[in-house]
Amino acid sequence: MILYILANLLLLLIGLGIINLLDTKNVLTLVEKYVVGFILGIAVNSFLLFILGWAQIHMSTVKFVDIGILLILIFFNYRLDIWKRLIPSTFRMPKFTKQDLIIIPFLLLILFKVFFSFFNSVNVPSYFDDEKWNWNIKSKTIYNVGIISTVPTDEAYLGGGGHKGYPLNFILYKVYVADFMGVWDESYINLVTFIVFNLVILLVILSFPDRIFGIITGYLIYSIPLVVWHSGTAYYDLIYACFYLLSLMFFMRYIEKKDDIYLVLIGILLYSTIFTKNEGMILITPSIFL
Amino acid sequence: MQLAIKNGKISLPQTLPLDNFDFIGFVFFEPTITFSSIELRQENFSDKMAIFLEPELVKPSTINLLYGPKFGSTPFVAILGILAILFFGTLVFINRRWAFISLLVFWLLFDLRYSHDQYSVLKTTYSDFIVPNEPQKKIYYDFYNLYGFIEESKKYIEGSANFYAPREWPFNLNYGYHMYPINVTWQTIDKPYYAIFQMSNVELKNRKELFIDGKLIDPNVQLLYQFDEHSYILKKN
Repeated sequence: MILYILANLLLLLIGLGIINLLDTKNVLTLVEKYVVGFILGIAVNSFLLFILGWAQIHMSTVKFVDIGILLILIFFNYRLDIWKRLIPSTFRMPKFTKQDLIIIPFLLLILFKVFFSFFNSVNVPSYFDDEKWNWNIKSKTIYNVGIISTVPTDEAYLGGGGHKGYPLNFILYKVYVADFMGVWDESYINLVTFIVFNLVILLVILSFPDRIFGIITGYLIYSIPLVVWHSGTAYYDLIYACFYLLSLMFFMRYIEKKDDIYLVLIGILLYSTIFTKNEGMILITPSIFL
Repeated sequence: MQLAIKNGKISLPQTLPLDNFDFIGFVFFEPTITFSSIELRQENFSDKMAIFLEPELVKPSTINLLYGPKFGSTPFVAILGILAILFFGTLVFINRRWAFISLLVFWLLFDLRYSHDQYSVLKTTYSDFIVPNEPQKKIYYDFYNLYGFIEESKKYIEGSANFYAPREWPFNLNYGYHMYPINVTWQTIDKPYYAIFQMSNVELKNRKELFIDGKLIDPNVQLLYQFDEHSYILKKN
């Protein structure tokens, strides 16, 4: 448990450090920084793993590279005296009115679905065919072999599995977590989908100025059929769609505030979209042409 | 069509119009099932309600496919859809705000019924899979006690194993994945271990000759562990 938290904390801090350096005018909210920071941390780590694996260097090396990067980021954040931006300075309890009573049933339904998703993710080992044979088997193979096979005719090419060509973002993230924990434990390994999806939904809810409208929107997303299943299993269709949703959200922010940091965030999210699942290309191609 | 077994009774929750049937067939993967009686009758309102409330539990297709509840033979989503179009179509000319609220209400009704499925899945998974301590009693829907068998197999098998089960799918794929990096092959005889899951036609003659379906598979094996009445882990001598 502690090792799992530490593994994720390392990635979060790397992502946060980079976002904080990029956000020179400090226009991003704290939640935006933390959510995109975590997504960026995963993407950076997976990219490093990809390079290491391709260079036939053992995967376990990456945590030392991560720690090195984190130390450099801490140095720059401290030197520029911007690290304080990452700590909440004030906290105000939201004021509740009688009108807010309307959101209670929606909030309860959201919480139920969050619990359902968490329960399945933690208690049930991989069950559906695709999550095992198209995704997790790639992570398991790379974790056990320690390097990425670069021979296209090899059964374990890019981790093997049913679709050898699937992108490696979350596959390599799982390799990293299993390596950090020293064991392949499915109750932790599969939790990433749940974490990322719920962080994205939280960001969507908080991005609405009207609290009631935000929570109803969050509920509508959560109540789309099959979302509760996809958010708790090793499927990444929902996750790359979430990245695309966030990139659209930040595009709206860019139109509103005209700060380049939003374009950087869109770049990070679109990169993560295509590095998560190959269908991401269908989503990002129009964005690139635009 | 989904079958539900309750208190020894099997009911067909999504009944088709009986007038259209010439034959009715049943296929079961379980080795022995005996029908004491079969009753065919036209469904009444309480039958329709029972069909409507019958939860959709976990299936291999659950991740990609929502069959959805039916009221009699009419899909619930179709009833809600028609009502939503009628309400929205009428209210949009009177009060737009209420027109959108009516859509939200119909969505909520659909989701409440869908949440009932999720609650049933939670309850069933908890009582059948989480609560039992013995791996033999940890039942996960169509996998039966495969997850428990996998946990026990990891304690006895090293390297590679021949795997036998009633069907290749879904058992072989799942056993192979969860046992990795142990190499598991389907119904082979060349690996040093045999993992036999829920095969009712297995015999171990003279405590060393392995027969499946009356055919000699291996003349010299050693029983390492008997998981339950029909599941074994054996080692070649």
